[in-house]
Amino acid sequence: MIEMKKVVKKYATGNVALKGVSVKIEQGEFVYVVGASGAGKSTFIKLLYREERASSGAIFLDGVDIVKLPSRKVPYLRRQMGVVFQDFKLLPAKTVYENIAYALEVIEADTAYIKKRVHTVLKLVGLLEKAKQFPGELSGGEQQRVSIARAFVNKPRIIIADEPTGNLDPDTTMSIMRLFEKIHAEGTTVIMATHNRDVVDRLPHRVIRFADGKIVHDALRGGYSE
Amino acid sequence: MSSKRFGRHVRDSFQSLLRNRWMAFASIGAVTVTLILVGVFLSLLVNVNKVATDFENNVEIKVLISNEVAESKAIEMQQSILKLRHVDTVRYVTKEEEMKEIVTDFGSDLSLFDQENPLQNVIYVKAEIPSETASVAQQIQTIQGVDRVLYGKGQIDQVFEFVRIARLIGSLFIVGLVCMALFLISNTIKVTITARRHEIEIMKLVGATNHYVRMPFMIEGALLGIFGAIIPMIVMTWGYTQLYEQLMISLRGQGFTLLEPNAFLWKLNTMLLIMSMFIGLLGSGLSAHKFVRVK
Repeated sequence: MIEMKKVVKKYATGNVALKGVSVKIEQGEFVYVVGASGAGKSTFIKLLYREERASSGAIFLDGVDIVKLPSRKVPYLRRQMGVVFQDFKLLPAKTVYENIAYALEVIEADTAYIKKRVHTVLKLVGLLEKAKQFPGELSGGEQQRVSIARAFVNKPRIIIADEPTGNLDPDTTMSIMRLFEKIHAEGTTVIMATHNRDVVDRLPHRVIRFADGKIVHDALRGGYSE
Repeated sequence: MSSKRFGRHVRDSFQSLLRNRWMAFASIGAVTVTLILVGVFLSLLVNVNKVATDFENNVEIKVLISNEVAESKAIEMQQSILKLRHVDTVRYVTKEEEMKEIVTDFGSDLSLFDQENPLQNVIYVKAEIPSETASVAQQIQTIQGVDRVLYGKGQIDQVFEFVRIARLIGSLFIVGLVCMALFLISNTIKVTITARRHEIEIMKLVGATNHYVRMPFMIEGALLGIFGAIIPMIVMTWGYTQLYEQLMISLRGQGFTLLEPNAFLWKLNTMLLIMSMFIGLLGSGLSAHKFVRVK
């Protein structure tokens, strides 16, 4: 489903973040991307949703090389995936409901469908009663739930998460992880960059370890430090 | 674009205006002040033009007829003047009528001239185009029986020159103000958009196309323009009507008129509204364009 071939990412500053990365991720996999700060995890994640463009190499998504994808087609690529961030990236001026509905409005979904689907997703993340509140009125964990709901609302085949539990306490972290597990159980591919050793060890999945811009370890059901 | 999508954009724009009300207030303030200035200068320019045109149209050549010329001959002279090139109208006034007019204007102290009238019979001539006055006067000079031809040669040239310069400077001023308005508004909207860069980034992350991201900002710009035009339209309507009533009393006596408020204000206000909306649209469009590009 996703295949990277000899991907190199060199930033304008001269820093080479990825040095010839090749990897394959199949539909329905749950993948942790781990490694020290500056190892290349975030760049790897950003290349997947074309926040950054690879300097060389190819990244195939269902056979389409997204490195060569014209800029005007990038929005359509992003509609196939949901992205979750450490800092939630919610629209502060929109309510919980509006934040989630926005991802469907963008793809011009029908109003009745939006209402029904947002309701379903809000129920899934347990925030039905908070639909009319603004992000600023919610706890960190609740905001991350909204962010996950927004990423999941248009039924993407891939969820990409960049340190989604980085700002959360251990209890909240586990509840957020249970949410990812639930989404994964529905057949969605989850690719998650994380620093959280506890999460990786307690909920084992495939682990890809980065060091110095290269994949140094790839284990199908590995732990954090293997 | 579907009406459903446009409806969502309009809703988003209104929401955004309300939620960013202080930014919106600043933008509307900038639009309001600039438009009032544009309105005032535009009214001034258009009315200076009107007064100048009135003045141009009032320019007459005064042909003094020699006292020896009999009245019947004077009528013949009137006919031959009428046949000259660029002559529009001709009006014959006897010296008695002239005296009567002067007495009416300056009082009965002049009635002692009743005994011996020092004035001459006169033919008043108007050229078809005000700028042809001098050439018409020259032609009249050659007609037999003409004593002197008066048309304030130097004065008229000066007035024409003044009007030409006033029109030029006025037009440059208006163009300058419109550019300033465009700059001010696009800059204020740029500040609004910069403050919402985070929001744009998120919109793009959930798969919004550049066009989709830009649209609410452009509608917002147009709305800012429309709201910003309201106060200037009220101010101009009230101010111009008041000024018209005050100034017309003194101007009418001198043969000048200002533009009639109803017709003028309708045109001015429509123009201010459209211009403001267009500036808002253009300003926000230009600013939004910069922030929505995808790598």
